[in-house]
Amino acid sequence: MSIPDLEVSTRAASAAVSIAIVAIRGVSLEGTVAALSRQAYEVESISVIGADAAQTAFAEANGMTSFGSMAALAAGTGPEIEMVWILHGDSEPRPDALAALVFESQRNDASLVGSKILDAAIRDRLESVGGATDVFGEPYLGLDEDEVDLEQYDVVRDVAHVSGVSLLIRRDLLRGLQGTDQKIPPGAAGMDLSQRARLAGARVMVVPSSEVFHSRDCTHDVAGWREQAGRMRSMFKVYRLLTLLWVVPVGFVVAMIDGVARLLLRQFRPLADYLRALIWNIAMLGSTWSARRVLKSVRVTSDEELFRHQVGGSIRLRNLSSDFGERLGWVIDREPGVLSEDEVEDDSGAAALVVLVMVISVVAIASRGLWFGTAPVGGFSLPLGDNPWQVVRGFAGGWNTTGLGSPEPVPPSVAGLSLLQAVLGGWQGARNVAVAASLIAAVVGTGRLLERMGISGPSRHLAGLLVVVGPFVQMQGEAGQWTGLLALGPLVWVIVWALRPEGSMLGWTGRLVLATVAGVVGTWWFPVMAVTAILVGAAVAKARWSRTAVAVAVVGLVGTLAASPYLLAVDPTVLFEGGRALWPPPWLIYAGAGTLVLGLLSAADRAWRIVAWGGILSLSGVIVAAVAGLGLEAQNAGLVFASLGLGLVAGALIALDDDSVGLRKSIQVVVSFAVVGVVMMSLPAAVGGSLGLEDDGWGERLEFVGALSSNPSSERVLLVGPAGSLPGEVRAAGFYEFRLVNGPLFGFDQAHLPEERIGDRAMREMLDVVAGGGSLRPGAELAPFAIRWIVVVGDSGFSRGFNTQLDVREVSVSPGVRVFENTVASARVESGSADWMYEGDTLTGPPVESIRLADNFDGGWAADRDGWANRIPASSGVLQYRPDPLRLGLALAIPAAMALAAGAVWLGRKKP
Amino acid sequence: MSRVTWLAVIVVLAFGAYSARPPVASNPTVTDPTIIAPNAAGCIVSVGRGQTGSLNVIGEAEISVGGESITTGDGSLSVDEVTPSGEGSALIDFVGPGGAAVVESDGLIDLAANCSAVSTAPLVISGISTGNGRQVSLVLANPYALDAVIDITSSSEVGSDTASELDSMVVPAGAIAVRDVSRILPLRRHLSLTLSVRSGSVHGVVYETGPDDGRASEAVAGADEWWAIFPPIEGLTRHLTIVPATVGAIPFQIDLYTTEGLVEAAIDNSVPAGAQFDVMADELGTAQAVRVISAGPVVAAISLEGDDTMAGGPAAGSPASSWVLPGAGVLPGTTTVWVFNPGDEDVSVSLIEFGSDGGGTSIVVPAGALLGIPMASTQIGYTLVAQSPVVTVWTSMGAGLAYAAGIAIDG
Repeated sequence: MSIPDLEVSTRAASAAVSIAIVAIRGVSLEGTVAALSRQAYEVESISVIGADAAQTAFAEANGMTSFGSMAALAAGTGPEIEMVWILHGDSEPRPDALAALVFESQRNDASLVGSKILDAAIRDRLESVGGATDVFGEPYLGLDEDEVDLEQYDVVRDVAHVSGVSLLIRRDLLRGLQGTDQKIPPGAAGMDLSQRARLAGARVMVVPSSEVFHSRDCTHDVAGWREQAGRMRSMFKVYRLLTLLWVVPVGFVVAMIDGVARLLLRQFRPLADYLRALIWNIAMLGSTWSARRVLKSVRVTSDEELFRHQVGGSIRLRNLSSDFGERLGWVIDREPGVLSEDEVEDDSGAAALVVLVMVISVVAIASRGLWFGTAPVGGFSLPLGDNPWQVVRGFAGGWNTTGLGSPEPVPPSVAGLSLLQAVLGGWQGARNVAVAASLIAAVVGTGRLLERMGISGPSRHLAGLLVVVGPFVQMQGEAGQWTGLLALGPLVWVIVWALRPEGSMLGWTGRLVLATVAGVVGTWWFPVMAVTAILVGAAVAKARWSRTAVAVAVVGLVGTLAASPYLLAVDPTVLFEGGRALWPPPWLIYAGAGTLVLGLLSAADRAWRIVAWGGILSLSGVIVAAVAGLGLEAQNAGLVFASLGLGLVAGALIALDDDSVGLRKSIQVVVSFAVVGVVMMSLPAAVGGSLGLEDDGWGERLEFVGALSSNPSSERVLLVGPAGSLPGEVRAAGFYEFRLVNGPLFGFDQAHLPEERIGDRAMREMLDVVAGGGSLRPGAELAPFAIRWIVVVGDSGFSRGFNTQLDVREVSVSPGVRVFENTVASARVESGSADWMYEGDTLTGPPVESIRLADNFDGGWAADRDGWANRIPASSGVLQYRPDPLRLGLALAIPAAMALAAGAVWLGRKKP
Repeated sequence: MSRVTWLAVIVVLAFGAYSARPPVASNPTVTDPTIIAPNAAGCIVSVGRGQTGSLNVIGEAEISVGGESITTGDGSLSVDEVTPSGEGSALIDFVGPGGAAVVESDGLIDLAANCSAVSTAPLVISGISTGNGRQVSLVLANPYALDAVIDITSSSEVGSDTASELDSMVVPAGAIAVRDVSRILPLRRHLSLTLSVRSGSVHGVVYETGPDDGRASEAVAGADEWWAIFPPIEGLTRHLTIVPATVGAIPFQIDLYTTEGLVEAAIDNSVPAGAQFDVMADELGTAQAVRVISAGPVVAAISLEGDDTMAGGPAAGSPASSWVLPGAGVLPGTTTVWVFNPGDEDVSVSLIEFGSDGGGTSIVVPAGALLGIPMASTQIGYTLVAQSPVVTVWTSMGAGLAYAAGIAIDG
């Protein structure tokens, strides 16, 4: 094989070439132009693309033409020009760079060739020698960081893309492709142009003998996410729709996995960058679609051409795996006893990461049902509703459609979750996302909290396991409660942030406000937590009136404000209703008390106070949970704090004190084993995959309503059963319990019943008659309440009342329950002959004189009283509930206050 | 604070947590709900060939057939209006106090049966005989919206009987079911049927016909007090049957009201589940009426038989001051209202033709006496108002014999 003689070959190559310098904002063209003047190959003209005023003046002074865009250049260049050399204005090519490009282009019949790009500062460091991509459009250059050019890549070869810093392209091809994409930053532009050229039938090659030094000024003003957004846009442009159908969702999942996993490496930017890139592309869909149409006119090959140069799998995941491996390498590769102090610290961090990953894996398994959409339905564990905005409005002064309707707002936890669902486009998986995020936050936060308290080492993350899958969480699950899971994460981080050490990045203002913001989120789940947070504030501050105590106390108070639309509207006694005595397994009390005592006696100085406070938190939580009279909210909060307390105790006791000797050391070992034993005993909970929540079949029992009803949203279902058999909040009536459900989907938005109002009392009296069998026509009695279906669970005796009546028939549509249909049912909105639609706080239908709304009478409907219901003039055809202005104002103020608080956090941070 | 202080706090809290342990929940006692049946009655019409009849309603009511309201108010309906096909049922929803009965006649056989109150309790029909070539049909009507499932057990002089055809009978909503009891349980001289409802509810009537006469007897729920009046009609044998309307043996006593005075606990006995207690009136001496008091729900029924006549049905309920006698005076024969005064004072009673404006017939019933008051024929029936509680039944003697107890309406 002979080495081609460059000089001879150069002379042999002949093509009329025009140079297009891509101006880089603020960077002088002088260096680039000077380098061009030394080029061995003679060019026809030099143009500047996208120049600012100074660059334009320089161009004019040197006889160069200016164009606004590459497309303008391509259109304005005549056929006398065969090829265009696109060159960044922050680069300096070697004198033979263009000649090599022209020669290899002609020799290989390549329509687009690119140079080898080297670092202008360290001139033997490689930046690009062309590359491949994965199927998701992520580039793969095949270079190590800081790899030196030893001519190891000096082979002319086909590549998926070349760098946009220096590439030679046929003029007609450039014109057909309408130049580079102006919306894509310089880095991604080369890849985009290369891929489009290949789809147009062009051969793309890298010519390493053409060397260009690049100062990388073009990347200075471009945010990282913009490059990612550019690559994403390129992907949207080049793939056919059929390919996009699977590439986009799979790519999203991959990016989410990558983003979330990198949080464990304390890398927060990748996830944020991806989301910003995604949002930017959604906003740019219109122009992307136009660009697709342009490409379609020149496209000659299918997506297989793109697949040809792609690497297998995901480059994101490869890099993720590599980064994790690098972190773990500290543990595996280093020998003990020969480590520096820094390395010891890194070792500890890496080991902690291993434990953390393992703990999160166990948590994911133990709660898989809550993460992946198969959450049990029962108790208060219910799917999200189908109209989240309506629920949010119900919190913000609007009409609460639950039961017989009420102006009383839905609880903050319902509103918060519905808001998240609404923001996610009504996606039912919002609940799963919230649970998963809270659990991970709780695990990570517990470790961080213990670290703040002076407990280091990997074992601290085991405490997080107890916090989220421990016995107190199981107790909540068995009681049908799950909102405590959502409160765990925010609560832990409230304390973490409140305990930030002096001199950390955030200033005092930022710390306080950040803790407050987190407290708002936590308090939303349990309004009563606002009170308990104050106690915790005092507790974590070791009973001293310190700034920390003040911070957490403020968290509680601001949390109260966040729930103010609810707290101002409801009778305070509501907060203390619905409880039933919860008590942990006796062994936990015995073992826990014994461990606490031994732990207190044996723990080292830095640990015993944590044990003491954790024990107090845990035992206090147990006591609160056992007192039914404190109400459901307080009991749930009690169990949440009990979980956190247990975690603190476990974290402090598992970490052995190396300085202890003798009996104390022995006791410490025993106590540590006891704590590990508790952790192990919690693991069987992982089998169920739902943290103790049990499915009682309500997920399917009401499906028939949607199937059998023409207007299910305007019909109500009466659920009746013996005590403890019905989901959500219920009302007791002698030998049975009951509640109303709207429509076919019994969601979390209906879980909590508002306080009884005039219609509820009328219904209760009516049900007494029906349940006693005292009515020959119970259907007619139920009709004014828009009850079409009666679902009776178990042997409550209620159904015996239907044995001797004429207008309620039994239908066999749902297993495990008896279903009765009211044959004379009325709709929730009765208008005579016309059909009116019930849509929560909006009623629509053909204009009539008036309609009867079978909801509790309320002035917000501008209605006259019709018994307990509403008679509303309906000549307009659209009726809207008038929200309470005070609660609306308060609700609107919450996000504004949150935004202000977030701004204050940013402003209040200390610069490093 | 020192470790010891913290330790003390922890110990106190641990003790508090242990003490907060809720008491072990005992299994909740599930009490059956008290079912208060609607103030309504179910009427069964089963008109044989050539028979005519009427549904007689006393008191303001809504009358429904097949779940549809056909008329409102009191009065008399021809059975054709209830059921053109010959068999059907109607539900009478009373606004206030009232009663209803169906009477039928074909010139030879006279039948009278009260419409029975709505109930989901076990129902009993007794005093039936499937011997001597008699045809006995059990007609079950379910006028309600839910299907009914009924278990029927029988007892007779041969003991407790079961028959697969009467087990788990399904009577669909709004339908009628008929069983030929004389074929299923033949040759029983004193037969009782107990209808236990598994789900839903029914009304039942047994039609028993012999060569010369017949009787209709409605199924009624049990009670712990019954009053049986033995009308002193020549040529009749009178029979009293007591049947338990629940599971288990039920102690009872029979007090005799003879012409010589009250004989308390003349019979003190117990009737086992699935059995019945029969006694001939002749065995009770000169008793004009008897009171049956039981420790649980039973049904007491009267059976009246002559050479070519028969009648019978449930005994009357507790003494009351106001009664309705729907159907009394409607049949073509001679109607006699029998009034028994169980008190120690004479009682003045007024019998008023329902719907008339007049004062009706007034008569004084001596203390402890049974008085038969012949009544003129009427379209619907009579009401009876007494100064103090009395017991009343009525009979009709024409080509055939008919019997029905009065329906108390004052509580």
